[in-house]
Amino acid sequence: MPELSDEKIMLLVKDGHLSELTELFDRYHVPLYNFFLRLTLDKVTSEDLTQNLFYRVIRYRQSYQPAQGTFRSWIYRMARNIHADHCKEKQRSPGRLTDREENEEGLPDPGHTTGYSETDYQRLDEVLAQLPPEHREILVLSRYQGLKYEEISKIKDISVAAIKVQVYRAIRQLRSLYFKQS
Amino acid sequence: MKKMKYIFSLFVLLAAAKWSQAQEYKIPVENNKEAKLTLIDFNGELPIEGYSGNEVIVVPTHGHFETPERAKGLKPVYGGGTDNTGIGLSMEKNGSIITLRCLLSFGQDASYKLRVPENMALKIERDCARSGETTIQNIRNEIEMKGCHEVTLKNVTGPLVVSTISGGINVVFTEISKDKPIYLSAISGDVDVTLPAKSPVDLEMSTISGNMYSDFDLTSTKQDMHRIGGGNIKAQLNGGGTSLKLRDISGNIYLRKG
Amino acid sequence: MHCKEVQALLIEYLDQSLDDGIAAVVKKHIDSCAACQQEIQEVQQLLAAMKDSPAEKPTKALRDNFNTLLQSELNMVSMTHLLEEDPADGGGEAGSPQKSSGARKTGARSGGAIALLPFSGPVWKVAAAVVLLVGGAWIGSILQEKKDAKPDQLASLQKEVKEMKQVLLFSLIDDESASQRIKAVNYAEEMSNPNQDVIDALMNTLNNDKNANVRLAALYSLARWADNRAVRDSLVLSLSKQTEPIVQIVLINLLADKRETRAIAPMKAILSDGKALKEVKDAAQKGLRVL
Repeated sequence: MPELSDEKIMLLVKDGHLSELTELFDRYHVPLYNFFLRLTLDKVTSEDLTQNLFYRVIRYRQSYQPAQGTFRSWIYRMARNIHADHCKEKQRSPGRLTDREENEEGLPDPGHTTGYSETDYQRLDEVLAQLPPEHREILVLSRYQGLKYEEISKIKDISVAAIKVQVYRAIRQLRSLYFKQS
Repeated sequence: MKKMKYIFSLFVLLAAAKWSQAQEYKIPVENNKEAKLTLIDFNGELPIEGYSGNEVIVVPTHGHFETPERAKGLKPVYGGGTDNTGIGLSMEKNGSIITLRCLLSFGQDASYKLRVPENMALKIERDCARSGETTIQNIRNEIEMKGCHEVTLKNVTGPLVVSTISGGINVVFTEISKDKPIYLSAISGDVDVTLPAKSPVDLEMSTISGNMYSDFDLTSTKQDMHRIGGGNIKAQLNGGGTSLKLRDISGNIYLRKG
Repeated sequence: MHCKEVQALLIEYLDQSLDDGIAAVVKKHIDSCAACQQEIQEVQQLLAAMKDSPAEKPTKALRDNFNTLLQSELNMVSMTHLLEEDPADGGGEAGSPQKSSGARKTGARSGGAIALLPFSGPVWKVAAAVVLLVGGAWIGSILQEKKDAKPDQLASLQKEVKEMKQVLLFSLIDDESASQRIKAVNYAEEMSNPNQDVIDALMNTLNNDKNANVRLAALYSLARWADNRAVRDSLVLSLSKQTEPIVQIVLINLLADKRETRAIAPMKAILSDGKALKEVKDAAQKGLRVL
């Protein structure tokens, strides 16, 4: 049996088959939790926000309109709003990792890296955490979570071209931090 | 003569070791968060220790369970249920949910020692007449306990819901995790809790006629509106988080930095 | 094409989303430019790392809470179906075949949800309470969603959190685990202005919960509204029913503190009860002196 698309499932949910939502929870709760985690850098908060997000999905299921974009862009749009509300509520900017000691020996050798080790990922996380929130978010959406530019355009209400520019700038900054260039 | 004594006691020790080995009662169970062990009405002192294995191991440390010559061919009979363990306990197992009920009367002198998979949840009910001190260590899941005498917990993570009637409660946490509420109450004994200094906690503690002591900075203390006689303190430690409530009637409360 | 332009196109080049003609030009430039080769290697490495970055697993609590929320909503839906006799469920509509089979399926599913809900007293009451709580709020929130008024967003989030707490409270208050029930009571404690359903649920816990600490938590929570007439009446009644010593003592102290003379009789009863714990008797003695 072919897997139903997210959109079909969400329409079923909207139509009264509420328990189908479990399938969407299975598909999305880990990426969404990681979306929040990379923005807030706090596990507990990220779980709370993910929980709140699915609560909203249950509550606002009738507001889902497939014509307005993919399910993924719909739910990420809500996720983004929840995160923004969270920041407002906390009256502070999105979290940053407290400065960890830079680890000179830990630099990966760019020429010979075939696979990434755990410390490489950790270092990438640390560098990501140093980026301004806007850049971090665009990288999480487009690269970590693999959303299409069209979807992000729906989520952020800006043009695809503008998103490409943001991605370009974010990666440039990430690269210069990661590879220690000025 | 002295030497004889040593040899004799060594012999006794060896015999005891052999005896207790023979008396071990084991229940295989998965070492995960779904597993739960309920202990009801155990006699005497009760030390419980978590470990990384896959068996609940019960060892009688005291008491006589060997069948006397005269009872050959008979089974021990108890008022409260059937002894299917051979050590005065009735055991019920349903999936990974295990219940052990002690069938001995309070007049019978016995005690047990348990080792349990560390991820199992524990629920313990002890009454005043037959129970002694309870000590629990290295458990990484919920502990729900209704005791009567002293209760001592070490290296536990919570959630904890522990109450006792005539003893105190002593807890040393090695870590505290959010979303795992801790609620401890004693009547006449002291409540003594040691937390890692950086624990994020929403603290509430109150005692009606005892005193409270702490080396934590409780300056953010709010005078709470639901003060019920005695002292009542409500404070956030390290930004707040885990709900930690300590209640006492006439005992003192000690909150220490670990 | 210059290095700058090539660099701006690098990501799309690596994503293979450039048009063939442009891609060829970019490739040609890169082949002849050492700096660009260095850059492309680094960017490629970062893109791959971000794509393959391992996802962190949330704890089991997340799924549990989701299931709880979903179950509450399912219960509510089946309740409203029962109450309203939704005509769509009749299946007699002259719609397309798919539509009517869909409607039948809905009926079957909500039937399944009902089966989870035995119509015995307390569960039924809780379900009804959840319907009342969520139902009204839900319609309100849909209206609000339509308006999409920005300044209200914060207030609406707070409201939403409060409703979520109520849902969780009612879902957890009957839980098997004592710590979950304590959590339920803690949710009540975070409410500045709970409604009657919340108070009733706490009273029920105070008088009937199997665990002394859960009862005690409910009592501390209720103590905040001890000046409310109905709450006070129930607290006085509770004193004669209470079996947990620590709850008895705290309750005696509370009622003595409030100079509640109706507590005198139950306190005297405790004094003459042979089984009562010494500490409880002491508390009653002191309480009587105050009153």
